[in-house]
Amino acid sequence: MSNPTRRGQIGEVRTSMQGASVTPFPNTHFILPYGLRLQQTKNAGDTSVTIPAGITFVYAIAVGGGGGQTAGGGGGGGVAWGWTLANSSCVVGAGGTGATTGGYTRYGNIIAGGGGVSTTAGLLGGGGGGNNAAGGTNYWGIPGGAASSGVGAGGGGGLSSSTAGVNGGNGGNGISGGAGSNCTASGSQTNIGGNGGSGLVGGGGGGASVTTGTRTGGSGGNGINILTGAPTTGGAGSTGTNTNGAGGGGAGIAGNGTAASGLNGGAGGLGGGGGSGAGTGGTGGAGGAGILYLFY
Amino acid sequence: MSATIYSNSSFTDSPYGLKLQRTYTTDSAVTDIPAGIQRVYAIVIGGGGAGSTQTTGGGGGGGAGGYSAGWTYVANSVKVGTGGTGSSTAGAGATGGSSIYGMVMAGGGAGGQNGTGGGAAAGATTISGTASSVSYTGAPSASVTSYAAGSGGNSSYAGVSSSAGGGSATVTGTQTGGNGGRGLITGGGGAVGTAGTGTGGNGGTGDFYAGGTGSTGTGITFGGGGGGAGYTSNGFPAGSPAGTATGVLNNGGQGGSGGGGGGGASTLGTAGSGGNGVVYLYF
Repeated sequence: MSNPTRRGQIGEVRTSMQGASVTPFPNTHFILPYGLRLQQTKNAGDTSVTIPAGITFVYAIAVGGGGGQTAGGGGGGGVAWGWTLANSSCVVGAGGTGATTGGYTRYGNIIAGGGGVSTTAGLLGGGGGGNNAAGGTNYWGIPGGAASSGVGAGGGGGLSSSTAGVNGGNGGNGISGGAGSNCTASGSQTNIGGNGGSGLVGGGGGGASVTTGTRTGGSGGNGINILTGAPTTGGAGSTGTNTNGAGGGGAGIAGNGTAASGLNGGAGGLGGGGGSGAGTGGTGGAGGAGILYLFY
Repeated sequence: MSATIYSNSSFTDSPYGLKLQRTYTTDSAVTDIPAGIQRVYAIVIGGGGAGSTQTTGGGGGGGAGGYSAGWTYVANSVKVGTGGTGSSTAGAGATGGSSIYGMVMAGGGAGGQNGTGGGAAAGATTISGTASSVSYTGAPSASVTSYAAGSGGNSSYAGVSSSAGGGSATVTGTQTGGNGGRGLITGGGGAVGTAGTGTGGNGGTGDFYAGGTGSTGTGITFGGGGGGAGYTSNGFPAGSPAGTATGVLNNGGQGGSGGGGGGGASTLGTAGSGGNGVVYLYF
């Protein structure tokens, strides 16, 4: 009953699925997971999957949608990975808009939650929202970061500030970054929003508002494109005197976050980047959509 | 120690290429694993929870059984959890049973609550409350969307195993029960018992199978909830609390085999039983 060459063993590059002439190492299909090939990518709204006959097990990497936000940032979407039986359906979460959490992404038994918003914790590995919310424990039981910038599977959201001279807290780092928080202190001092936490997925930056002085929104956290190993970058916040102060969107696992534009926050990058906080009167950035990678 | 890891299939952690070799739907001895196979990849599903029934109004559906998957050393027996048995006595529904093979285990789903709340889905261990249990992978217990979804009271949450829809305690006017959540395995629908038009909730939509439909009609003889989709079959419609149509439409529907949660019943109808669990071995 032994079948040693059929199982994608560690240390083995299988050639049976893609032909013996492939050159493995310059081919990004071979980066993760080792020896398997990325065969399908599913985006938000996709619901069906066609797996070739004879493929029983599939290795899935699921990323939930990033949280959308209005003042503080939104947390990055959670990341889950592992083997599951082949399945003809999937759920890929959308990024949150306004102050709504990101949607979950699931393929078979692999499930990742969306990023949090405001005081809402991230789910299943999602980063916490940017008003002191905790990050989520993920699919594999890796604990989420505590509120106030804790590091974890989902980083904790930063602590918001309404005190002059105290910036919005940065989001915690993790697999998925927590959101930076907003700074709303009145006066004429400089207010600075917190930066999103970094990881494979970045959290969104927090906004800066209220002060008549300088307002500087926080930058989105950085991420990593797991197919290439290249970094993805969070967007920059906007700066102005008695204006602007919106945060930048967090980086997704498959795309950069966008920079703030005036009072409006930047959107999270594709693959769960957290949305960002707005300046006074602006609109917060939407969370990046989730994504699903299937390897076999 | 003479084993060579890379030529010995027992040492790989990837299930890629494995084939389904054994299926168990009841407790069994396992004596026929071929010599030389020291580890197998097991998929273990617990039994679904039964729906609940109430003296007046509708009970909640039962939560889905847990789903666990992983490598285990060969064991000589397997335990397969049965679904919770639906009852016509007011109160909480029965929980499903746990399924275990070697070191892979999954819990039974929670029964519908004594009231209108739906049952939570199980993770690795059997539950009876509104929060799910921790999953086999370590994903957290939750009262929201999760690997194993917690009960939302009168609403439901999605997950690998989803929670059940809630019923309605209101006995007049038009009422609708909650549907079970979306999942790989799903919870049952909640029931309603009203003098007006009542529509029981549908069992949750599964990846492979559909949930059973709730019944619709005027008066308290309607409004049962449908059974949740199991891993191996559809949930049954309202009026089929044990999988066979009774013609009594305030009864719930049985959950599909492979862990589907039972549908809730109204006004002392018989709640749907949960679907039995199942265990698969791949090697």
